[in-house]
Amino acid sequence: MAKTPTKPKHDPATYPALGRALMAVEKPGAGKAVLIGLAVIVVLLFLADVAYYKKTYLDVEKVFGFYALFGLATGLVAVIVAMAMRFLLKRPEDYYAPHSTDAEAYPEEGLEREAHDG
Amino acid sequence: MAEAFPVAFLFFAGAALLLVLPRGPARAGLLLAVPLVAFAMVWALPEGNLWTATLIGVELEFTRVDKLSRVFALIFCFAAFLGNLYAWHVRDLLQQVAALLYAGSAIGATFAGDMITLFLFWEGTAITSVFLIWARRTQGAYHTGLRYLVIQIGSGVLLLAGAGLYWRDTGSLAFEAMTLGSPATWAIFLAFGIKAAFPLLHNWLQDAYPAATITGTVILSAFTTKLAIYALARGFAGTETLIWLGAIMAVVPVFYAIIENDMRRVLAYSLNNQLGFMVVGVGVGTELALNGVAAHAVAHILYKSLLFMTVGAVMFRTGTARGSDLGGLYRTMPLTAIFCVIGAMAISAFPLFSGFVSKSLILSAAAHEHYTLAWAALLFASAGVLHKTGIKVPYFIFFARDSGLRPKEAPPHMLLAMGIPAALCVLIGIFPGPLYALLPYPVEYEAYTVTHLITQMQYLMAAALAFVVLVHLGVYPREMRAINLDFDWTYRRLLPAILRALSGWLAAFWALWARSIEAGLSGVMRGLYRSHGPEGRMAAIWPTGSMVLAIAIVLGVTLIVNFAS
Repeated sequence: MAKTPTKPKHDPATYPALGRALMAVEKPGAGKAVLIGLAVIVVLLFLADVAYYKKTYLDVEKVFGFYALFGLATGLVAVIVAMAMRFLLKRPEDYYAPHSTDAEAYPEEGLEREAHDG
Repeated sequence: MAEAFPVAFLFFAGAALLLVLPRGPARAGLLLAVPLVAFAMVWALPEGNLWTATLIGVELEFTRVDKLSRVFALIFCFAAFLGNLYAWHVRDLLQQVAALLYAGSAIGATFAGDMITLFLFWEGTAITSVFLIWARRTQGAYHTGLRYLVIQIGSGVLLLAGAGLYWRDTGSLAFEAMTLGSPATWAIFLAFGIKAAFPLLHNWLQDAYPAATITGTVILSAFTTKLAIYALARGFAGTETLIWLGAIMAVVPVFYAIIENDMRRVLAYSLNNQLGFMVVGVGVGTELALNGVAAHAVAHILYKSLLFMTVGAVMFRTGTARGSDLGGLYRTMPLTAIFCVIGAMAISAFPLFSGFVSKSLILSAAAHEHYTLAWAALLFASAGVLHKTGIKVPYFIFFARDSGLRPKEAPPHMLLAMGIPAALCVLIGIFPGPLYALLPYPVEYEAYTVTHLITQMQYLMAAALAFVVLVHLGVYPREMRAINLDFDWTYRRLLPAILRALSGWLAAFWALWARSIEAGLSGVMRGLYRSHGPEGRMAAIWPTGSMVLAIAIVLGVTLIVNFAS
């Protein structure tokens, strides 16, 4: 099953058309544009609470922009807690070796490593 | 009733037929045909107890069909088809046979009308699925498989013990709704809980699924845990304990997934978190909630299979699923990247994707019943899903930094296997009607309301903004080659260490005790030797013939006693 890996071509002209189209995400400033765009969308969505009747079942839902605030807060809290956990719980990849697959290479016979060749 | 012949047996017959078919397209074709035929059979089955058999005086119900069992059986058949299509290239008979037996066992358990039949198929899923791990054929996979098997078989043993106690208590073995309270129901509940990956019983999932073969993980992801959800929905709907267990299940895996490097393990944590939503739904137990459980199980099997397939396709081409080794693959694997993004949007419950129309049933049910804390936990978990799976998996594999890898796009059969669930994730999201029609109870729920759309987009976009800000600031945990200890550390390291220490202490205590006894006996012997030995005082005062004299006296007394009597 395993094939000899071919040498990949790094020339974008050889990439699939879809891959080339997606390369727009690498344009200079794309990351900043995403950040600003998202921030604008979140602000607009936050303000949207004035523009419609919010049907709620719980009192907390009635707080203005609750879902936006909750999403932002939980997004930050989740990462902070996770980082604290990593500090305490991180171990080398071979911690359980040889009784786990964590540090093992996947058997080559189950792979079909093939580089993009245009 | 031939039409009601247990569908599971079709899978078993298919597995037997595989053994005599030649390698190649014939076997692969059979692997596709069996689940498709089974799907048609399940679709056509009327409701009722359709097929029974008697075993040692116990009537076993093999085909109990109602709307709940039908919807789970249908999605299991479809998942088996997708998994086997994805594995079209596999020529390993062990994996092929295991895949059919495993799917058949899961479907058999779904249709079980009594607890003995449930037990037989329940154990069937354990014994057959382990071969999808062992088929990796490495030392690590062997040990992982053993751990998996012990836990899964343990679940079955608990189920059997619970069934026996339940029969003693009630005189019935029917698999129906139960009330948690007696030892019998607790044993059954825990048996289901192990397979459903309850908190602290969950680590087999994150341990085993990333250790299986590339195709094996896709197949594993569909059956065992969702069978457990079905069993909970059948047996313990409305059990409030489940709400809190489910809330913990939904929240805790989020943190682990954020810092996990192995993308298949990230998906395993994510799977655990999605099970939490379903467990909460079972706990709420209203018609809306149970509809949500069934709908979410269907949607979840589709998008989770899809996500495991996309990560598997990357592994297939690059040999790794480590986030630290990947990045920038969208250039040469754009279709796989797009399928991954679709799966990620579905699991994150973006409007127009399947997760939106299924997860919201459960969240709404929790809110309607005023389980505010559980609802908040699920909302937190929803934002977490977006971070850990919705963004992290596609971002770190296909975008982020350029790893320099330029693998070829996934093979056509894998693309087809990914394309089908990807299309369904979108179709179900846009047209939820056909899915709702399959649910156990009539659905009076409108997913697409202004409130739902805006509130959902508010927290999804805000959570996404938090991710982007953290990445921009360089604060988001970077992928690194490491593992993170979880509860399995207790039985993989702590317990063996305690047992080793205990055995060391016992051995030392035994040696000390033996030495002291030996020393005491030696002292006695030395004393006797000193007094009665050749050099002893007693030896010096006793004549040499004293022993002969003593024997003569004893014989004389014996003669007298004998004569007198």
